[in-house]
Amino acid sequence: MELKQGTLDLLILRILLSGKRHGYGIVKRIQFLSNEMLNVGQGSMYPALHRLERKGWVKSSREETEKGKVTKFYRLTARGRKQVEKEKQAWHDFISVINRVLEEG
Amino acid sequence: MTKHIFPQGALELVILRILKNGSNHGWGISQKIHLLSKDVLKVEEGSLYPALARMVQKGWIESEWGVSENNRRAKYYKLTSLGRKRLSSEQENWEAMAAAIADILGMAGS
Amino acid sequence: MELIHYIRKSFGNLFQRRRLNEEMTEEMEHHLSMSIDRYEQEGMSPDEARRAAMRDFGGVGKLQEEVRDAWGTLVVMDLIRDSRYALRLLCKSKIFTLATVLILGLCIAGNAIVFSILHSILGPPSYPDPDQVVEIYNSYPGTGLDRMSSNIAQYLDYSENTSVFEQLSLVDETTVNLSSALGTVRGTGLRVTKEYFDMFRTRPLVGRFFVDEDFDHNDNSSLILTEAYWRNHFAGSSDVVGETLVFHGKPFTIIGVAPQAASAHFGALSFFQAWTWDVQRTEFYKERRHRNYTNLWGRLKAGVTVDQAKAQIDALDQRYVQQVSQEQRDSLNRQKHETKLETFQQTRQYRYGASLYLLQGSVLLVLLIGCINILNLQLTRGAGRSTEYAMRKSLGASRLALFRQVLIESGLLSLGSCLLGLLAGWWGLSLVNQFLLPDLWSGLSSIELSATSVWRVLFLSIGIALLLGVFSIVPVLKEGLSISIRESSRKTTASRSMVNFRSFLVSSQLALSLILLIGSGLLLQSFFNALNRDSGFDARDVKTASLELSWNYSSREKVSQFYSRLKTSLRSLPGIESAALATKLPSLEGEGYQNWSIFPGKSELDAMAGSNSSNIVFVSEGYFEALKIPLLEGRLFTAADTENPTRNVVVDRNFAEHFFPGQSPIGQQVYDERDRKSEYACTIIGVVENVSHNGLDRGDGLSATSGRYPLLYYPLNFNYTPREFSFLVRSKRSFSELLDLARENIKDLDPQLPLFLAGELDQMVDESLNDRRAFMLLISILGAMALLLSGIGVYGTLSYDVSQRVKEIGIRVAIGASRTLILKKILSQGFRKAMVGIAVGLMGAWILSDRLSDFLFQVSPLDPIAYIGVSLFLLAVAFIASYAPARKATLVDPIEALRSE
Repeated sequence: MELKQGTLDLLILRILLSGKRHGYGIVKRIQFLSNEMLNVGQGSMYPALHRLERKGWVKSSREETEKGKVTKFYRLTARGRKQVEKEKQAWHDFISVINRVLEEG
Repeated sequence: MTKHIFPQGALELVILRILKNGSNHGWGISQKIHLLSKDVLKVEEGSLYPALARMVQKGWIESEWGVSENNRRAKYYKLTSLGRKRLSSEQENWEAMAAAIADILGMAGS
Repeated sequence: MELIHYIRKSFGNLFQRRRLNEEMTEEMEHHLSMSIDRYEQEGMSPDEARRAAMRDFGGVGKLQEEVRDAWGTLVVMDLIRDSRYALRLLCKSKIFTLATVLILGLCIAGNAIVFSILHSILGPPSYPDPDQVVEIYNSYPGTGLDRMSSNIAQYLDYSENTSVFEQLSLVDETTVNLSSALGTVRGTGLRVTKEYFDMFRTRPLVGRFFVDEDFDHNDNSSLILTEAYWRNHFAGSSDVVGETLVFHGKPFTIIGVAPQAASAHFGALSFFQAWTWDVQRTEFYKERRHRNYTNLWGRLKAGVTVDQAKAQIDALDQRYVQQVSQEQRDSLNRQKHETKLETFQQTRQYRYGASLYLLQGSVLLVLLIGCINILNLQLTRGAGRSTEYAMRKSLGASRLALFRQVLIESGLLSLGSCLLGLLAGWWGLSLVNQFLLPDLWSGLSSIELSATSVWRVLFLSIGIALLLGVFSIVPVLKEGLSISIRESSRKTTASRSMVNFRSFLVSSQLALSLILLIGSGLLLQSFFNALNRDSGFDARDVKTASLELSWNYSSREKVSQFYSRLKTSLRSLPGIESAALATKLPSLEGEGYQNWSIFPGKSELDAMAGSNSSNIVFVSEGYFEALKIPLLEGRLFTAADTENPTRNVVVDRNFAEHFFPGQSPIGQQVYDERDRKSEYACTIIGVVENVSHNGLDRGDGLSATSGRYPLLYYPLNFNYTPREFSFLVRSKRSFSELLDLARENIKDLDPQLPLFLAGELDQMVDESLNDRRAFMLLISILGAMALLLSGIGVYGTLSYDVSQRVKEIGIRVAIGASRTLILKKILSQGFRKAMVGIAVGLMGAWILSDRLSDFLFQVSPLDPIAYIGVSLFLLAVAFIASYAPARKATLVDPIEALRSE
């Protein structure tokens, strides 16, 4: 299933909560945690990271990977950390509303 | 600003589910969404219409003109058999995705 | 499903944009007004309420754009715009467009026709589960008799002792004189056993099918009509039940009408009769299990495979073999007897498959040749267009956009050719139905342009056009677009590899044509071989007709009395040179012809092995004279031989040489299979020259082993008085005049006797070659198409070459090359291409020649005359096609050519 922007932002923020990662790492992590249910294309991942960086929720730095290659790593800012909580709440509200609609019509 | 969190697929799913209870016009559907979401979904009411047009195009719903409660001409939408099929498969998809996201939200930190 | 809905809707919306717009506005206004109402009820002022409602709703303009996007009309409009552009371009290059559509269209028409023929002949028959219905027949490969029919004994044996059949039915085709209020005509029907209609799972359209009572041997006068006969003669009236039809003077009562599915295996049928036989006949056939005169059909039980059924039948055959005498056992083993099971589709495949696939192969070959032509055209055009492409690219069109342009162009071309193809195919099929159907596939009523073939053709043409389109743009894209914009299109010198590729195309085209032309050449030769073959008899001025006496002629005496009265009556007609009766006419198909006789000490089964058997025909005196068959030795029949049977027989040269080599057969004794005793011996009184009996285009051997087949002439009336026979008269008078007179005379003898198979013998013999003629014609038409297309190909390629090399030629002329030299040079180019094509084509024809051998007559599939003749012919065509461009090259004015630099 396709992920929409907002949801993807939330997922990225949530993943980065546990520490810095590079873009590919985030994609893999999402796949792993969702048992391959959610497939995030590289194409939507990088614009999302860029957007989050512009909003100041994420910052990036060039670092060496464990394999010795230099790439961009992303980590949460303090504002980003607060944003995770907000987004999470919104998501929970949203899920419960949709579920209510599906149950009651 | 939580508007962006309302994915297009979810809006269509909600519309399908509401129309399952009987045909309705755009205003009626928007009121249902308001009522059920208790304003959690701060969706622009108008964005309902592109969604409805897309669904007509895909053959999930069809429209016909009728008269609304206050005696005004209004376009009523109702599910087609294709739409009925879509509703159940979309619902399954939705549940699977919601569960997957919930997994990530709960476990990513650990 | 969803996609189809989307596309349909998008196109539909295109024409309703205004309505959709109005409705969208109205709908949104409705929403806003509802919203405003509510806010006003909450106590807001109208202005405030409107503002609040608008805020809730969001940006109306943006939302309306989104809704319009959803209608999908934008994509469609893009498509239309591109198509319009492509159409304009195609109209600009009229010759290219016309040539492509014409060539592809005609090739597609050919394919549509052949697809349809293939589909209606080899497709499944119309009754349910056709794969479960099988014909059960005997095969004796040891004697070359691969497909004989079946018999009562097998029907009874398999009905009682197998468990695999739901129904088994014995079927016998019969032709009778059918009398109704409208007069007497010949009608063909089936005598069937009770299970027949259940086997096809049909229900009567009117009335009922046969029940047990209808099979009472002493009173089986029930009749079922076929749907076709019922519609033609009774206008489909349901009152038909209870009506009477008279067969050979005996009345039959109609009890029902059977739907078309019950006649699916046969040609034009009129009726079904309940078939019964008495105990004696059962006993007779039980002792003669391999006398095959009837067809046996069966429906397998659901889930039973053909192999399972065959296993049970093999076991019963084995049991039978154990019961018979050693002699019979040995004979059956020698003949390698096997009972075979086959569905109707397999039978058709066997009968028509080879010729149909040959036809399909040929028509695909023509398509391939046509495609090469179009590819050539595209390449020529593509080379000229590289400037246009480069221009568009530099103006910002993406590679994808150019590609899409080419795809749309190709799509339009294919659509055009497809339309033309279907139209021409439909027309062609009506021609096929009218002229070829009765000759080639007489069992079929008509061939329709089937939906499957339309689809196949559609896919085929679209696929081809796209492929060719892509092919044509790839070299242009590869050659680098930026360079060509600076050069003028004229000067774009085709690269070396391009020239080679195009030479390859032309040569392969010629090679393919050669294959097809050699095929049609061989068929043509076979046809003329058959036509000009010395038949051994003179059919000119001979008129003939056949008749069948009714059952009222119950005794031999009555029949033979009719013979002599008819002879006398015919001979009394004015202007008659001679008149005679016979059971079969030479070179035409007929009843009771392929019999065999047994000669001393041989069994009936051995006769089937071929070495001791002979064809027999019963003729009256005057027969040899009427046909001008020369007498070699002894004497011919006289009236005395046939009026009062004398046991004298006449044989042909084959017979004399086969049975009495090196001695005179006159006075020798021969025995017939039915009277294998010496006191019934017949004496040979004369030897006549061989005639072609089985048909002009067939060998006279019944079996593959003997090659020649001897023929024995019995005097008509000898111990066999057939009720069905033909008469022939030699006269210079016109046929219709004579026929009218003969009819009058015959009416005097018997008022209810229709004449059939009436005509001039030479014409009828000629018409007997119609199937060969039709097939040859079809292949020749395809050959001619191939020839024309490859001629165009050679011409087109060379013209293009010349036009590209104007400058070079100009320089050559300027430095002193003579015009003859230029002419020679261009011609030799065409010649080289043709030679390569012919060499490859000869090889291909040699490899494929085997496929054709079944269709040839007295010509080898590797016949040097055909190979050399066709090659020379093709060379000549290539020469003619090269001459025009070569001539143009000699007219190049060096100054003009160099100035255009």
